[in-house]
Amino acid sequence: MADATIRRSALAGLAVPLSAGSGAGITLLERHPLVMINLRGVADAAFCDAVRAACGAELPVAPNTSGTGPCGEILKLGPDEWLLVADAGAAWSEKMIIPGATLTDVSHARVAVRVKGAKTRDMLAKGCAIDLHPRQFPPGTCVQTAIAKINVILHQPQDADGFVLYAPRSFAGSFWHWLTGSAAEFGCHVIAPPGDGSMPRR
Amino acid sequence: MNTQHHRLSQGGLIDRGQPLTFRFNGRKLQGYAGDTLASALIANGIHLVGRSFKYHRPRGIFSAGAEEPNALVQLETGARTEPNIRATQIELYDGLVATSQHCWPSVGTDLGAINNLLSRLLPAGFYYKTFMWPPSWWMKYEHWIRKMAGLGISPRKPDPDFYEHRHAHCDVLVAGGGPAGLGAALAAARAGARVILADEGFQPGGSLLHETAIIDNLPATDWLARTLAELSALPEVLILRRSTVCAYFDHNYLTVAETVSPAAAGMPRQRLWKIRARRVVLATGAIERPLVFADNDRPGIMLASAARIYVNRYGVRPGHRAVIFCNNDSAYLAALDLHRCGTHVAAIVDPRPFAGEEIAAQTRAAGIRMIHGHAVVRARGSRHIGAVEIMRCENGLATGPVERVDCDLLCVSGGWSPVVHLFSQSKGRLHYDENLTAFVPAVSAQAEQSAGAARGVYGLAHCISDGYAAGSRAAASCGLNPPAALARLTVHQPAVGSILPLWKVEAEHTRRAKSFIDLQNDVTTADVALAAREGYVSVEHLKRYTTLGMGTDQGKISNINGLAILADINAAQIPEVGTTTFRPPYTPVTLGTLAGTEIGAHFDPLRTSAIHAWHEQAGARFMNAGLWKRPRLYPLAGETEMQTINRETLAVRRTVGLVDVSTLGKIDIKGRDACTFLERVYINRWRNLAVGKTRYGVMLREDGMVFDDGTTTRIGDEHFLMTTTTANAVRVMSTLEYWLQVHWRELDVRLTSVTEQWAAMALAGPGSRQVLAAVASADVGDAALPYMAYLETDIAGCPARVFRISFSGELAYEINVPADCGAAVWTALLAAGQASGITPYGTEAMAVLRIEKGHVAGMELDGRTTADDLGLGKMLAADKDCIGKRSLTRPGLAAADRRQLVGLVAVDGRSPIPRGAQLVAGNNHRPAGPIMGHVTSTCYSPTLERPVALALLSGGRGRYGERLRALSPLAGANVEVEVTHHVFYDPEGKRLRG
Amino acid sequence: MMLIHCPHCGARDVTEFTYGGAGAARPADPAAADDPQWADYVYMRDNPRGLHDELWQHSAGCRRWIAVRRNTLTHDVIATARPGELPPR
Repeated sequence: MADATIRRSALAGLAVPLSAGSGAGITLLERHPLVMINLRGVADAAFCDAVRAACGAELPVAPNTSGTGPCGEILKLGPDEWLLVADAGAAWSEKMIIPGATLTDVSHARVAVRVKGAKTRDMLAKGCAIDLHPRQFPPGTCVQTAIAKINVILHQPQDADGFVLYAPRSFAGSFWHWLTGSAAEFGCHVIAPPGDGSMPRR
Repeated sequence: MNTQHHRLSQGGLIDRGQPLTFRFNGRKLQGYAGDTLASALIANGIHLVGRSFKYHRPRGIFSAGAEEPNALVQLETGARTEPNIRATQIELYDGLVATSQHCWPSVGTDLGAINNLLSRLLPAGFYYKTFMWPPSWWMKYEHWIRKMAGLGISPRKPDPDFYEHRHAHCDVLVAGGGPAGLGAALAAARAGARVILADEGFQPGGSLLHETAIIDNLPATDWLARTLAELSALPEVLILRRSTVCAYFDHNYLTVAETVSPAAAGMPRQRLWKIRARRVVLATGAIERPLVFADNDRPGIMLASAARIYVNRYGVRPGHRAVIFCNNDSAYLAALDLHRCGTHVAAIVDPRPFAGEEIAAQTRAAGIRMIHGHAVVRARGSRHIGAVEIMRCENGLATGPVERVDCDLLCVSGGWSPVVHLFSQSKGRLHYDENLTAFVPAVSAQAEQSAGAARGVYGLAHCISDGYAAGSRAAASCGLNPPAALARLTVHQPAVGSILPLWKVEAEHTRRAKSFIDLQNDVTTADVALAAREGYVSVEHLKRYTTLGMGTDQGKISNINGLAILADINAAQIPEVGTTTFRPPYTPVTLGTLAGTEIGAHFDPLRTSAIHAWHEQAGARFMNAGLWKRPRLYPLAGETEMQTINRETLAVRRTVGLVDVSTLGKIDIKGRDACTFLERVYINRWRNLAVGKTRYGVMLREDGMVFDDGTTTRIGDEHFLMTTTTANAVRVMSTLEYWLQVHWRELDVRLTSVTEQWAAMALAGPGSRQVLAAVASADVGDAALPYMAYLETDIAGCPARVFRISFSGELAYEINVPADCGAAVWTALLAAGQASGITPYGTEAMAVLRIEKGHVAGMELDGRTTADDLGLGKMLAADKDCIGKRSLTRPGLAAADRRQLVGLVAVDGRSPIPRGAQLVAGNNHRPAGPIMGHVTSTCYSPTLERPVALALLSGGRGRYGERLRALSPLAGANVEVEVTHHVFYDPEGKRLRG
Repeated sequence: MMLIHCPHCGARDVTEFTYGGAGAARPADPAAADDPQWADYVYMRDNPRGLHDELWQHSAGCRRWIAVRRNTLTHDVIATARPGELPPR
């Protein structure tokens, strides 16, 4: 994308590398920059086929689920609404032709943070009212809920390497404060996103 | 030096190898690990711990648990101090500091004790009756009343600790870790359920911690340890200690207040668990009731079960010479335990003709005197009990000769009240059980069941198996296979038999003494009788009039006695009187725990724009706009705020300014019926809007009042971008979704909020085109981008949407760029405008610019104004329907005297016109009603060099030129104003088309 | 805290939802409605003790408006559905 070099994450200057020593129960890793596309359509067979053809990924149709493909992930947000998520530079864009689909670029609308480590569920439970027990929230589960009064998308990727939380961009500061505050008692380790093009903080 | 002269040499669950030093009322004392503050005080021979609330009578330790009414202390000092903490529940630690409350200057010498002598002047309702006149003096009275009442002291310094919330889910939540709770947890856990067991103590176990019974050939405490070990080994079981299930809300949502221990850096002081349970087992046990007789509040009087706990669990001797006064068998166990530890039990006084066979035989064998058919009518002694008076007693009436028995400990038991608080909070219905003389759970309202003593099942074996059965049923109703049945328990414990109701003891010679029902609030039998005489016969009225059952203990030990006595006075049955409402929390919870991390700056989350870091760096002063932080102004060194606002405003009028408008709501509207949708939402016409053009729209609520306004752009044939005001962004989105999803499901329209996707800034002023042209890749000349047009271009290498719209009244552009690029584009524009003196401006200057231009904003869109009131009536398209249009023809909305938008100028050209001022007739000295309107927005206009204002004035558009008074008693202003058209600046709109 | 079963997301805490009141059918042709009819639609809502059909938006979740049949006395949620699709009482 033309803007890749001047993109500055809302977490720039916040999600800076931090080591908690060997005892880190939680690791935070910002995902940035991402391409995120809001996808709308009626999930009939033809539409599922069209999405599969265009995106190379299965359209998740069951509630609270996600699909994954070589390009990225498809998170189900509602009965006729999904979020396509891929690393910046992926082929997915608002301009994709998918019959029956409405696509809207929302790549800048959210910050994304991967939370992993042995204490992840305990830490998330400080703000998340959803049951995160592995039987209730297996890999691939994706829900929208409120954490610390912030509307978030909470996704456990298929690789089960922790959870990815997506929060509205304007809430990034408060969201990061909640993440690090909640993780503190377990030891919190922060890894900067790879290839972050953000400008240095003043 | 060991100060514990009342500590037994052996026994109990305290660690004699781990002495702890603490201070009480300045005295340095010693206790052991495993003690509560109360047990450590008793070990040191201290019973007098406080003074009563109203009469300042000496009070001692009455119980050993959450029900404690008397032994409330001020725990710690300084920032961590906490008032009204029950000594019976404070886990002793090294260095603990506690002091007595309700006394001044000291617990030993308390001047307030004069209230006891004046008590006949202090009847129920005393404060209501006495301090009512004159009404304005209440504040003065209250100061002294509070001082005399000696309530605990709240901390004055910021809390150095933090608090947290934690959500949890489980199949079975067990409230209470006593015999029944452990049985329930065991059964549910063995069935494979996710179990949370919460217990208020620092050692779970409830009565198992002090029972002398043998379970399956194991001492009760060993059985407890074995059970806890089995539970702890299961991965799906969570045992919460020091955790009180304090509230039971809708749909099996319960909150648990946990005290985190040990206190450690980085750890919260307390946690509030918010638990959603599929099933709940309430194993909250039962609380022993006191007996009501004259001077029944003396230190040295305690519940019989408490005496057992102090002896058996804590290894302390609460007295050397004891009398037991009870109406049931359970207190006989206290007599036996006291006897065993070497206390002389002088007598058991029991109004029943005889006790249970087994327990009576054991008591006889111990050589303890049993006095049946008698009651204690009065306690003697003041700072400590010294003796009791005993008389023959039938139905509470004592007669015959008085026998005096010396004692330093009186153990009382009036029977047991199941702890039905959580059950009642869950909306379950209670039933009064005559045999148990207690309210027990009857009809459940939620997915819960009570087990053990909480439902009136007594005896260790019964409680454990009742709990186990409840746990099995709970697991089964979660779809799990129930566990193997519990092997038959062999428990050696004497059976406890009948109870004889005894609500109060009256004797002729003690009529003038006080018989306390509620120890914490000093409510006596005389108070209840007075309340009944004065007509407070409903139990809820009784509570409020006498304060019976109020306070930190909420009447845990007093309520049943109180309502039984009320029933007696009213010649009613106890079930007819009923109970007061049980409300959360079960025991007090600190505000810090309830607030959790949502305090101070983090009370609500904050929203900041992509350009926020720049604003901060530039020294902006911020305002809150909902959750958003917006720059109000950017002061230069030495400027007053007014100077800054004027400078920023004039820069836009004369050269060029830049303002962050990212907070405006932005909604992407796509679909075949997008245009039809807009026609229905807005009052004006959209079908004729060409692609690449922008239009101002106004939307109404269904009642005809203006809801919101903003510009909408046709980006493609079936693609629009709507903007909303900052304040209404969320509500507009939600409302549009409502119409599409509920009423207009036939429309092919999809809405996506893109507020977060785009950073937005307005470049305004005569020099704005020149600045924009310097950074935009596309032609932005007047021909390519005329007024109300839209184009897409690159700005500083970033894809941008440019709208030629104006809120300021000047030539202006609104620029949207993807948010991650917002800061880069903002700085690029500033760099490009540097030569022309570009000035960043904040919301203050923005408000001045819009007032000068007569644009309406939130102050005018107050939910009571129609489009016509705001001078926008001409926008209403005649030949289509829209939300709210039908309401406009209702007579009230078409009335000629409606308040209409006008401008106001100060006649003297300099007096500020306060916002909120009312518009009236009259003169400087005598303003005259009626009120004809009010000032909505006001500013000093640096452009016009005078104060101007917008106002809503009855029939305003017909009153230009009229002179009125703008009257604001709050601001102390009475300003002569002249009514004008609301557009003060460039009414022809030449400048924005320039 | 009430638990509301969103037809699209499953059971969620009530804090994820925004109350939208009792829905009312909009007159098909507002211009043809007389003032009392229109006022009835705009302003008048029942406030029953017991069963109540309401609209809620799952505002922190899928953002869909849903119909909820709720007992205002006991707070029991009896049924939820897409708007207009609650079963007959």
